Amino acid sequence: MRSSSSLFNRFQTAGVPLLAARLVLGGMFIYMGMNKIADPVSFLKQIHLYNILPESPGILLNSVAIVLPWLEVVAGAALLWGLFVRGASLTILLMLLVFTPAILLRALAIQNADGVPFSEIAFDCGCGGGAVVIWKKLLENGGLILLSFVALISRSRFLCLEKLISGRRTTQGSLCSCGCSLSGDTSGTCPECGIATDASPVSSVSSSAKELA
Amino acid sequence: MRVIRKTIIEMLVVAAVGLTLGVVANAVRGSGSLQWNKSYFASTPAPSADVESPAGSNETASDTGQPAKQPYQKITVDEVVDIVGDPDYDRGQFVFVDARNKKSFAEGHINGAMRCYHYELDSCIEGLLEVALGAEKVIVYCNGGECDDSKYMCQELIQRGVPEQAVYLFEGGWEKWLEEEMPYVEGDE
Repeated sequence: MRSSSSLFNRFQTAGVPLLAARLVLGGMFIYMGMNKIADPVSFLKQIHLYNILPESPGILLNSVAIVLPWLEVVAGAALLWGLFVRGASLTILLMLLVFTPAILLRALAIQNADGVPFSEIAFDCGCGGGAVVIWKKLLENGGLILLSFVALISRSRFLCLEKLISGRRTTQGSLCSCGCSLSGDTSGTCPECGIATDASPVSSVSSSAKELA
Repeated sequence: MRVIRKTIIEMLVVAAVGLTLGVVANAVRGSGSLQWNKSYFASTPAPSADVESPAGSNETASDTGQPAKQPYQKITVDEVVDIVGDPDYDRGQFVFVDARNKKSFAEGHINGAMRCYHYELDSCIEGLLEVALGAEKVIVYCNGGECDDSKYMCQELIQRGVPEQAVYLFEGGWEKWLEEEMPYVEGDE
């Protein structure tokens, strides 16, 4: 009977969960970011409606409206291409952890002010997709948070550009599945996926050259 | 520990690239770009004296922090319809200001309205002031509903010298105009 830690390790090193998380998160954040980039004034108005940032000085609201959409697109693109996977997924996770409670609080404020049942509350949350039914949006965000965790903890680098850029030779003579780069470490075990490596570190250039030979 | 440090560095790289692209894109965008330091939503301070409009229709304080009395007047759709329907209606006396974006304006607006979007003020305010400063009534509208753009435009006009008594906020805005099945024109002019 496999232990739970063994199953967890298998999940962490499996390629499909990460690939699915990357495709969904990356695609959605690129799409939503581009919608906001197309109309920054609308996005500015939406942020203002949350009453989180002060109206004056305007630099706080304006900075978020100008920079946040590009941050979404860059993080989404990095995740989609498999570059800086953990950093991009952490960025997306942090954004979701800020957006989701804000949406919930705004919906609750509307419910208290207007007496509308929570299930019927719908507004443009500023997410880049127009007006949405809020309980569905919160569920969706919950799913995205879960996917962000999957991407964050995964040690696989299946179909990741990171893997092509730097590789690590295993004792079996093939590239380490996580493709992490060497930093002078000669411990013999990949810190990312735990696969045993050669005793002497091999540079990414030379390992790539050997692969091509 | 090494993984955590690497993750944080990656996150900072992603943030730096996003920030750089945002700054550059806003700088090269032209129309639609935002000014970093402009307070687009800051309310004007309430007048020092108690200002009561002839119609007594100034706004009262709300929980959102608006000043107790806004200096502009309010006008209903029925009053606007009466103005436009008057045979002696002289358009020079009345100026309609459409405070919506270019797309909304092109889809339909009150005939003769001048478009001036609060977020693109530099491109339209000078031309608008030339006309507004001599008008008897400057009637400002936006989409209606939750749209506050007409309020901000009213405040801008007053701050730039248009007499308070001449600036009117059209309550209900474009929504009400359409509800009354009033005529409108399409296009950019």
